[in-house]
Amino acid sequence: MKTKYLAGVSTLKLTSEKCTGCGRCVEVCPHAVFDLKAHKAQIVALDNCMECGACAQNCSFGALSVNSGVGCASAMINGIITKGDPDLGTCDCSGGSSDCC
Amino acid sequence: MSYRARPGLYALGNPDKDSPVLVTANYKLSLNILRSSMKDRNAWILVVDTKGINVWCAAGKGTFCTKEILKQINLSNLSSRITHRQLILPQLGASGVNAARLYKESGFTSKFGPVRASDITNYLDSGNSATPEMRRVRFNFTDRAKLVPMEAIPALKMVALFSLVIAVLFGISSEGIMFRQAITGATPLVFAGLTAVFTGSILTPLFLPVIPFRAFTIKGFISGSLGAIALVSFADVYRNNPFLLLLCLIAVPLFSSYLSFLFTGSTTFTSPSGVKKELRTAWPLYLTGAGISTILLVSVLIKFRGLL
Repeated sequence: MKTKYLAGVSTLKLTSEKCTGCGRCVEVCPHAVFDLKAHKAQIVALDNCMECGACAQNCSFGALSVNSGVGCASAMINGIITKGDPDLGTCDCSGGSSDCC
Repeated sequence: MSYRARPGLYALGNPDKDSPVLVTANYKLSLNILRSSMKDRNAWILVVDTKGINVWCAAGKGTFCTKEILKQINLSNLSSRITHRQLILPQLGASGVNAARLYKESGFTSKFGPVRASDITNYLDSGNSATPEMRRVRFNFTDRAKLVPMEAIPALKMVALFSLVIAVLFGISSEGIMFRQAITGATPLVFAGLTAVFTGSILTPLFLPVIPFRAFTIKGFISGSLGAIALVSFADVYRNNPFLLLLCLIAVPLFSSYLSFLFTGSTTFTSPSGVKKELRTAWPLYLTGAGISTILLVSVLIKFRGLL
């Protein structure tokens, strides 16, 4: 049985004109959000998107954009309490800040 | 105990210049699982430094990344050991790695391997191609069951601390802490706390797909409400004290909802936009609930002392 998360919230956007149909997004997406149809990527299951950012990170043609991040309530609650902003929080598992990339 | 493996190039079996190169994080468990899935095979494993964190989490926070892979390619002198120029990256590392940039800066092309190490030999045998099933992240009952202790233990610690404070508040008198009073007064509240942990951190994660609604805050509220109703029907002590009854019926579902909401951090499918949407609605309710619960708790305490 597949559990689905909130519908209609994902910030994933595909600009079809820029897509070359290389298929990289289909390859990296862990939730089968994309499919290739007539040599173009299409979003076939937007509500499966967890905004991990793998697709946009690997689209060489700038056809994909998403406000990526980790869907973790602890981190956001921590952000609200310490900095007044859910986007600025960290949780136990995010450890220290990284300076890589 | 350290979970870090030493970064660098590892030889699996007797790899030669044509053997595949698999890239992974330096989390010992990941490396060991990859190694055992590749038993009796010859391959190179390039282990990058993610500070002992698994591939997916490390990719999410930017330690499993293009720059780190480039660094290990150079440090290990990978180019001199193989004739081909292809890396197999773990699919879940994709949110941290830009394969195009990796190619530009190293000359290595990348293919993303399967999500699970157990599929890696099938992937290699089918000419580096993954079936749609190999590309999907799963989150079945067993996966969730393994995560339950990670949810329940911190929650139980919260309840333990709460119990201690409550016991002192009920037991304190001019002659010190009265144990009988402390235990009689605190026990119903401790059980209420335990009920919320049971429904919020154990039942909700285990039966996630079965509990109605998609929002974790609502799932936890539902399981918590059932737990609270079961608790107050089970013991007379709750029904004999209207303050205690109300406290249980308000605080248990809300605490359970909060605990279930925290499970979003452990799942494989919750989006930050979704979690933020839940938080916007739930946070004011949690704060209000905490305020009302505190007033009710004080009332229970005053009544217990015979002042009300």
